[in-house]
Amino acid sequence: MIEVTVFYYLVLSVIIFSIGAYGMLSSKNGVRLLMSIEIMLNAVNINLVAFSSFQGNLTGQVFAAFTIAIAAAEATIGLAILLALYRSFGTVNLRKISKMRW
Amino acid sequence: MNIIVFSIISAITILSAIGVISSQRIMHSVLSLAVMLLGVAAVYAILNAEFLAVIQVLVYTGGVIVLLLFATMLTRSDLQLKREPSDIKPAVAAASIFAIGLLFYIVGNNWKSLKGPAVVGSVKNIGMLIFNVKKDVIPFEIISLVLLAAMVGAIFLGRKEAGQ
Repeated sequence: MIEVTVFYYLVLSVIIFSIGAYGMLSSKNGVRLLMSIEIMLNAVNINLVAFSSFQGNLTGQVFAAFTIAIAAAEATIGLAILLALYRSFGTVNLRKISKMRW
Repeated sequence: MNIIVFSIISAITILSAIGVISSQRIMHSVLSLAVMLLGVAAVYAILNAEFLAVIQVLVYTGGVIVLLLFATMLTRSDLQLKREPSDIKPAVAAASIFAIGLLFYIVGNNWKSLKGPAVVGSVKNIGMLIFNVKKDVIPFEIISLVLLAAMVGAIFLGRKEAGQ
């Protein structure tokens, strides 16, 4: 049986982060952009937890917990901004939202 | 850890992450994101990070997914999902260059010295770190300030303007 080393977790994290980066760069929809950011934050968390667990030092897991809190705050503010944009522009298409004020 | 368990969990996680960015309906994207977040919770569980696995399910699939579902239902966002080739090409280039660079770095290093999972992230052990004055209590307090600021900001942004 092959032993699962930290290498596998790092590769998993890179794959998920790249998927999130592609989604963030290519999506037009604001909700999907926020979801891609959540994917990227989760990939970073996998990295932190993997190193913390394999090095026997729990500080990385504490940092991952802080990252989860920050991600929740970011999702809240992002969705509030999206709803405000939707009230003003009637769309969440990010290519159409180009005015700062009018 | 058994490699079969790890392979199944990571396959579910990666496939549902692809589903998030590629499905045609935004509601299906949100549900794929829920599966992906549960997969990440399972990864935490096989890394012996029990506390984080529970927190992941509570905060993400309990809180963030509900928020995203609300945002999806309050905005008509199914209409503009077609991606143009001019959107896709630079994104593919940037993401793949990034992934290849990181993979070269990861493959080029020797990770054999790290044995694990070597530590159990139980509630007790994490709490001993978070509430220790010499360790992480100040970041913890700052996080609570950040959450308060986010709550006030969300209420401010989400309220109706006078006269609307």
